[in-house]
Amino acid sequence: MDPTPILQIERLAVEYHTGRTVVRAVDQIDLTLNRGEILGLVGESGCGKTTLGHALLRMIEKPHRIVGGRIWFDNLGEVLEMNKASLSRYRWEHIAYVFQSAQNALNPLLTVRQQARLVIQAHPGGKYRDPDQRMTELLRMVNLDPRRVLTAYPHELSGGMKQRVGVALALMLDPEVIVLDEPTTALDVVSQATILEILRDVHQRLNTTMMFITHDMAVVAELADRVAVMYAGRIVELGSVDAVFYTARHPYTQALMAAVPSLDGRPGGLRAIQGHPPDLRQLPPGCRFQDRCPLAVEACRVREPLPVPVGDGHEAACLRLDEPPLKEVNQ
Amino acid sequence: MKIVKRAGSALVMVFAVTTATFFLVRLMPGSPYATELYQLQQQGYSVVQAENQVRVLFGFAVQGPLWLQYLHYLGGLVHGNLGTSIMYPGESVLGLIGKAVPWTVLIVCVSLLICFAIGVGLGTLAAYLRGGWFDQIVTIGSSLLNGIPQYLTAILLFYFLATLGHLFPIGGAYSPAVHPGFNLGFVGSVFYHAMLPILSFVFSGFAGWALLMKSSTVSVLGEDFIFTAKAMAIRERDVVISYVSKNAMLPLFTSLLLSLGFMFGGSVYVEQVFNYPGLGQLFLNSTNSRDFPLMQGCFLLLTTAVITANFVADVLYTRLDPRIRQ
Repeated sequence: MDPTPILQIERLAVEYHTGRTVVRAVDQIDLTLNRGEILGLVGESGCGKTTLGHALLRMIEKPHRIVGGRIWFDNLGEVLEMNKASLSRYRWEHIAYVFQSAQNALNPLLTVRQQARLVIQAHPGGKYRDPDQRMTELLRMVNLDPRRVLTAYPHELSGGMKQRVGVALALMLDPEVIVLDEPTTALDVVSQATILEILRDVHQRLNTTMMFITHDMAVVAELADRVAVMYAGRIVELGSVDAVFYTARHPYTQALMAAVPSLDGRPGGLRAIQGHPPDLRQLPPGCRFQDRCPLAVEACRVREPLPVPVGDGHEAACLRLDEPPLKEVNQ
Repeated sequence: MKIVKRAGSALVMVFAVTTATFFLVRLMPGSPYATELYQLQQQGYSVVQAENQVRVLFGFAVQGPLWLQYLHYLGGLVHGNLGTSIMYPGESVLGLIGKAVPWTVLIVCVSLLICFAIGVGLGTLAAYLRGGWFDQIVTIGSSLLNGIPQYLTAILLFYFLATLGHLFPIGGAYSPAVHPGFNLGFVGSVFYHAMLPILSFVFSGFAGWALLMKSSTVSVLGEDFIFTAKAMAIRERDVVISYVSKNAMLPLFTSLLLSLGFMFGGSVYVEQVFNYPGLGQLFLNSTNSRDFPLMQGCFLLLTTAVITANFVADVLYTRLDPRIRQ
């Protein structure tokens, strides 16, 4: 099956303005989401993955700004040029968001039913008119008892239940795309497994396109079709899960893999990545990973690497792609 | 069940404060008799004359031992009898308080609600426009106004608008020329007389609410669920009402109800400046003349009002905030 793009991001840049400093949290991002796929977006804390997720809904609030690039959504056109009315429809009718902090993503003073009603009321042009019926249906889909949950206030639900309510709310208007921002991070292992199962089930039933933001490689391996690896505001490697996990080409991805425990007990054990990500306020010229990279050479301090194809739908942004993978170097 | 328990503890509290005030007011230096004696002597009566006068004025001495007086007082309370005023011979304490309450309720209640409304409005706007010039003006202005005592405003308003300007009456709750009752003249006169006292409260009284509302709203605006609401494209009106204000007003409700309770302490300074016949005046006069029964009556009213307000706040809060509900 040929992939059809549903969301295309081109040279997207987002700036954070705090006091007098300006930080480019997301820089020169090119990324395409294909209809029906699950894309994992991985990277360390602070690499810009959440910012990218917010930018997809144009949820970058003043004084922060999207300073450049394009976000093109299938059938709707340019997201960054939408007027207020179209933007209101775009949000949640076409692209929904499941928040990292399910604990606080729900209004504590409204019941689940009331929040569902407000969503339907806000989208009179949406597909569904009866919020109670729709929410009942969705709560069942995420394995919750509608009789108990519909009239419950958020504090009456456990963390895992709140996260599932978050998923149900995101599905409310049957959006084409859902951005899931670390939906499992704040949960215990059992709830994590439940959420992943539910997401897989939802994806199978509705064929919703998902962008899954996480720093948990295991989750990506389990759920995603493709992976994008972000580092310091840029995408450094992109490809199918198999390609990126087994034949990682960027030294950062390789180091990331070496830092993840595996069940088969890889010889050599775990290796943490030395050093810290660069200060985004004063980036060095050249590659952003240069200070932590075992393969860095003089050219890396001068020339900025651009993404180059290294396989079928697999690309990496590194000047030293001719080098053998890190794993072998270290053995 | 929980409500009954709370009501019980409220009653115990009222009783404890009543007992404490009974003994405390009697610990103050001076007594009604001594005060009256002194005043008569000041007026030129001889000591013997003054003593005779006082004896006639207060009837037979109700002195007796303190515990007997206390039991007497409690007995009266149970029957709804707060005793008779010493300062106004022949007038029951209940009657005196009853006459003063409506005036205080009128000016304090009205000004409190106006202050609350203005404060909440300004605070919300300042929070939305935080960092801008409007916020700066509201925040700095409110902080300054918050430091201005009401009696100062009252004196200035009285001096310029009533004494110099003759725009407003210089005292009383209504003009002696109108006939009390439900007629336009009386109601108009009441509002005319209440205007300056209310203005004295409102002039600086809204500032505290504005500051409180601003900080509360700013913290709610930073919550994740506000971000979610925007991502869901919830209608702006619903975000403001159901998401922001609903959450931001919550902490202000207890304060508002407590303020409504403390209202029954009257506003001594403002009422005094405008010679307004409210509870504050009554409180002050009873204290100055050591009118024990009247003082006790005033304290009892204030205590009951504050404790009731607290009780209502507790009960109402469980209605407003589902997290507190059992």
